[in-house]
Amino acid sequence: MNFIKIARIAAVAGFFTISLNISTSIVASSEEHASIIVKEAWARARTGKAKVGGAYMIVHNRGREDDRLISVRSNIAERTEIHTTNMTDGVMKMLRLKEGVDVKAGGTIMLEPGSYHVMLLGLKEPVIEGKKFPVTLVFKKAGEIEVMVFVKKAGAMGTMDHSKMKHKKMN
Amino acid sequence: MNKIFAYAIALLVLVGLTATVLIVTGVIPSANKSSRSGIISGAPQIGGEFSLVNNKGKSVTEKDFQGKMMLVFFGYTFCPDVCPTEMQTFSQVMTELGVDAEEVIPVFITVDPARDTVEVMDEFVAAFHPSIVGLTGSEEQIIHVKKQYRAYGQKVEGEDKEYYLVDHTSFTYLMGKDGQLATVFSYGTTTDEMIKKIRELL
Repeated sequence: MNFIKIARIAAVAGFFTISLNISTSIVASSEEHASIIVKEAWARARTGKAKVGGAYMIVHNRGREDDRLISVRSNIAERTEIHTTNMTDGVMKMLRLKEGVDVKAGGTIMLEPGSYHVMLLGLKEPVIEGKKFPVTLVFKKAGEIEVMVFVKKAGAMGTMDHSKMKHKKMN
Repeated sequence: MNKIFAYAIALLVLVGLTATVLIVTGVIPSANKSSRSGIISGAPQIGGEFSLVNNKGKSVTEKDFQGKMMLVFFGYTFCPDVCPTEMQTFSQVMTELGVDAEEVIPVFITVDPARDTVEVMDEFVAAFHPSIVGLTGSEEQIIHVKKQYRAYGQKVEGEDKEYYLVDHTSFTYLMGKDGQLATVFSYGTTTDEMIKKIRELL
């Protein structure tokens, strides 16, 4: 009797642990697409008048085949594009990557400040800290994967608060 | 013949060594030493007069910043990547400077005055730190201030009329209390490095 009880509790606890983990790393939309894992999707809060925004995330290809992130979609903006930031001779240039980004088998692409990012052009609603919104990533082989983007403060540098200011409660 | 040649070489080596020793020990001032006091010597004049509009709609000139150090960054509010990153750095510098923050005014100058109106600038800078001053102005005023700072800002011409991108200088200029350029920080300079430099100039 006791053994079954313990087993049940363990199973429930295990389930919660797993689902907690999954809620931060986003699951692929279907089983066969599970070769691509997208996690830690976040965006910076933008003010009410801001027309553009950027979203960041980590894309990992744990499959055996190379893949390519070919496009991105969202309902929060009129247009959603893949961009990168290049610095040449001290000049910052943002570039649209029309061909997308390669994600090699076993490789990881970091969409992060100063590098690759999902560019949201023509924001339809303000991107407010604490809110979240979905973005769909389209891969050449893995197909479509929807991720939930969590909005951090305007100057956030990642999903973790790296600033040396007092740590606020994490949401 | 060989002997004379050898003596000549020896003499030259001796003269060279003596000169080196004298320079190293400081008897003869070297050209390098005198310029060490200025961080960038021989660089073109950076900074100077300008006339712009702050994020509260007030006309300002370089005189409004006199007696304070200035951290100057050129960018635009439609830039979602690099500019918020640099504003975050400014915000951290100001927070960590504590009381010394009184001596510094962080300034964000737009290279995109057509879209960066006073209201847009005010919202943008306020999202990072209350001390950051956003400066905009007419096309001519912005062209002038860019020239003064040797800064670059060029709209990318393309099919996109509304959401165009603007290439821009990524440096942050630290201007001394005298309005002269103290140093230039490249993009990615840490807050600690900026704070160290600012404290040296206090």
